[in-house]
Order: sequence, then structure tokens, then C-alpha cells
Amino acid sequence: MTNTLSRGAFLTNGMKGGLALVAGGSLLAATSGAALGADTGDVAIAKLAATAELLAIDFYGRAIATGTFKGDQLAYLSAAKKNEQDHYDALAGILGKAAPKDVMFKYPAGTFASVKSVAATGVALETAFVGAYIGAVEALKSNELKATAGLVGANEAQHLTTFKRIEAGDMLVANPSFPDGLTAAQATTAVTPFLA
Amino acid sequence: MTDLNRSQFISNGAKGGLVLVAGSSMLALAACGDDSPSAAGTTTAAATTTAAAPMGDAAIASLAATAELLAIDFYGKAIASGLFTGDVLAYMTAAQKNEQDHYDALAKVLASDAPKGLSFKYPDGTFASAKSIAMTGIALETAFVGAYMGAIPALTDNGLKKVAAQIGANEAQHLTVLKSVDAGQVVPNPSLPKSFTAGEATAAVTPFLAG
Repeated sequence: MTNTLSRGAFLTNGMKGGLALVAGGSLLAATSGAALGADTGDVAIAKLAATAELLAIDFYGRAIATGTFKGDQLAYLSAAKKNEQDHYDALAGILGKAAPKDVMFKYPAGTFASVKSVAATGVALETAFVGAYIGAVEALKSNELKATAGLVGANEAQHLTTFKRIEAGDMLVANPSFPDGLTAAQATTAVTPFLA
Repeated sequence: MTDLNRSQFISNGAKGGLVLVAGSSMLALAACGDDSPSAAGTTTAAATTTAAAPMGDAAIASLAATAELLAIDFYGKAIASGLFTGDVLAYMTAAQKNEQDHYDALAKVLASDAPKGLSFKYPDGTFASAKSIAMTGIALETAFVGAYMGAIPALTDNGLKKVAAQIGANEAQHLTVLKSVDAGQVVPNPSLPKSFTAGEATAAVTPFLAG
């Protein structure tokens, strides 16, 4: 990791309860003044969320680069990467110089060896992202940012169900009625192994 | 309709009250600040939450229960059409169970105020083909997702905001699956789902209310 947010700071914030992932788009930008200007807690959440979005962008990029995905699945992965980029761009626009960038990630051996292994890792990551955003809805102070966290969480839930489908061999897989919301510690545990 | 008639439903929506939100054991737990499964969903906890919540939240929950009944009815008719088999049929069945879970939790919270025994209507040809069912499902789930997203800032109880996010995420999953059923392949989604206003959600759901 580089400049504005070190790996140590990421972990420390997470363990203190600051790791709830939130990102945004136009809504986030529209509410940034009230949401982030006077609330350092929300700023910390936004920084951590931006780091997680960078991980997602990196992961989708590597998945696409494997060349093992074709047709509609490849198109979906490209669109999902664009989703994550949109989330990050909005956060970076709000955070300015404080936005994390040029972060390096690592993956377990064999992560990108096959469609199934990529999908399995994608399921793990997206499960963490969905849970973390749901946790953020509760943890954030700004009501507008809560709304944005809900929106991003819903989008990540769509990624999750698609990865489940790919992992199952292009078979639809049922989802729980209520996705789990992750605590800060749980989200940290899920994401930390990927920080180089 | 029993406890909530069609005109009340529409009127509440027009006044800004129609944001769809439902719950489960988490509904009670969230308001109590306790996520532990062991403490989930007692009738007492749920009733306390309802009593303590502002009227706005109770009205939202009541309207959400109506929408969940519509979803249950829709998936039931889709399954009964016999047009779906294999993993798609299994998914439809699971989705209906999701909606039932949402409704059951709301009904527990709302107790005697919970809407029940409702009848719904659908445009001619809705259940004539897998594609027509999927298209109607997309319209409904788009409204549900948007309404739950709108509920997050509209609700006053922070625990309920979390529950709305959970259910909205689940409905978003239904939506992307129905899109794939319609298209015959996986379909990308917008980075941020559209959040519905009360008027938009009302306009989407009202045509399905019978009588």
C-alpha cells in the first residue's frame, strides 16, 4: 500500500470499528458536503471503502486478463469492474488527496487458475463487500451516505449472485433472505489477506 | 384487502408514505442493536420495536408487507405456470421463500395490523410465457429494489435502515436473475440501482392491486 492509507492503518481502523465499506456515485457526491465535511467517522469509512473498491477493481482486472472467461460472462465481469471503478471514482472525488491509491494486492496461489477458482474467490470477496456495506448502512452517521451504502451494497449483491452462478457451472443458486451484515472485525478478516 | 385497502395504499403512497421495507428476525434485533442469532426474532422484541418506532416507520412496514404479499403471489403464479424447470424453477421457489420470510417477519411485528388476504391482478398474458413472466418480474423487482433503497433514508429507526438494506440487496439479486432469465444470459447492472420515490413506487405497484 502507498501514501495515504497504509496497510497498518487499514487494519487498525478496521479493528477499531471503522471498517465498514461504503462507496458512491452521484448521490455520494451530492451529499459530500454535509456527509463528510463535519464527520471524521464517515471520512474514515469512505477511505476504507475506497481501498476495498481498489481491491475489487484489481480482482476483476486479473480475472478478465486470465482469458478463461468468454461471451456474456466476460462482458459481465467487464461491467462489474466498471461498477467498482465508478464506486471508487466517486469516493476519490470526495476524498481528494486523502484517497488511497496505487495499492498493491496479493492472492492465494491458484486463485486465477480456472473459472471455478476465480468464481470461488469472487464469491468470498463479494460476500464480504455486501456484508460490509450493509454494516455501513448502520454505522455511518450521514443519512445520505447510508442511502448510498445501500445502493452500492445492492449492486455488490448482484455481483455475488452472478459469481455463485458461475461457480456452480452456470446454474442459478438461491440466496438467503437476509444477507449478513459484517462487523468491522469480520470485514477486516475477509479483506486483509489480500493486502500486499 | 383487509387491514389496508387499495385506496389507503395509494393514498399513503401519494403522500410520501410508500417506501417498501420488510424484515425478519433482524428487524427486531436491529432496533435492539443486537445481531446475535441467538437473540433473533422473539415476538416480544418485535412488538417492542414496533411500539417504540415512530408512526412513519410502522406505516412503512405495513405498506412493505403489502408489497411482499404481491411478490409472494407473483412468484407463486410463475411457478404454477409450469413454464420453468431445473435451476430456474428452483430459484423461483427460493425467491418466493425469500419474500415469504420478509412478509412473515413484518406480520409478526405488525401483529393484527398486518395486511393479509389480499388479491392481486395482472395484465393479460403475464403468465403466458417464460419471457413475459420474466419481464413482469423485472418490473416488479426494479420497483422493490428502488423502494427499499428509498426506505433507507426515509426510515427513522437505524436498525430498520439496515434491514431495508438487507432486503433491498436480496431483491436486487432476484432482479439480476430475472434479467438473465429474460435475456438468456447474464446481464450487467448499473453501478447504483435507481432509488424510487414514493410516487414512482406507487405507480409501479398500484396496477397489480385488485379491487
